[in-house]
Amino acid sequence: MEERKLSLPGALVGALVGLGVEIAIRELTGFDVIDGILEIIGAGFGLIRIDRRIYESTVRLVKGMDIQPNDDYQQILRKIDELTVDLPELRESFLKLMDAGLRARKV
Amino acid sequence: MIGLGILVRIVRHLLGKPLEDSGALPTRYYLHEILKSLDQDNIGQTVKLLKVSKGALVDRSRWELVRQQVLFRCRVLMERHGKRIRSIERRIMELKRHGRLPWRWFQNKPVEKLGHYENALALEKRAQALLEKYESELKNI
Repeated sequence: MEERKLSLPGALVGALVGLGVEIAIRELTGFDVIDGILEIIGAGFGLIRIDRRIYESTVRLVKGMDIQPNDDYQQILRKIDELTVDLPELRESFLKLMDAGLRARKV
Repeated sequence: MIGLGILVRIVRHLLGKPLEDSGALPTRYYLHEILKSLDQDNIGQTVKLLKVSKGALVDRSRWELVRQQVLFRCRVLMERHGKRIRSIERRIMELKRHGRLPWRWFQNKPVEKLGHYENALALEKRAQALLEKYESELKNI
């Protein structure tokens, strides 16, 4: 295997070029690249984290229902319908979750 | 980035609890706390936090979904308590019926059992009444 060589001067030149480009963009457009990118990444991660948490909670709610071992899909749907008459968004989430589960099982 | 994440976590840990009741923290903080309480079936705490964060403008749809999740869990728990209440009431009726039989008059055990069942029934009814109260509060937030 070919040995990979790391060059310290190369890294320094790369860092300086990056800094130069960032300063040039900031001077020309007034947009702070690094801060902007960090903010976007941070917000993205925050959104993903809370959505994943809500999803986990939805799964836990379905698992926490009093479902008998011999209950079929229709019975579970009826039960969800009864409990979510006035909760349309949650009902939709449950249905999507169950559809995904069924599709995964078929595959 | 890792350093920033740790810093945010420390600040949240230090300032989160003292400022929680003010409603000044970001909606996402409340959502995480509500979901944590929901995992532990602490409905009272979730209702409190939902009330504090009800003015949320950002993440409104997520807040609404979480409110519906709490309401749903509340109903599932109420149904469970309802089943237990019916079962305990049935047991109490059976015990009372059996207690009238002459050969059971001098046995202490059924009377003790009856006391236990009645205590359990009172607790179950109290839990259900509390959940009913939470449900109506959640509907009106």
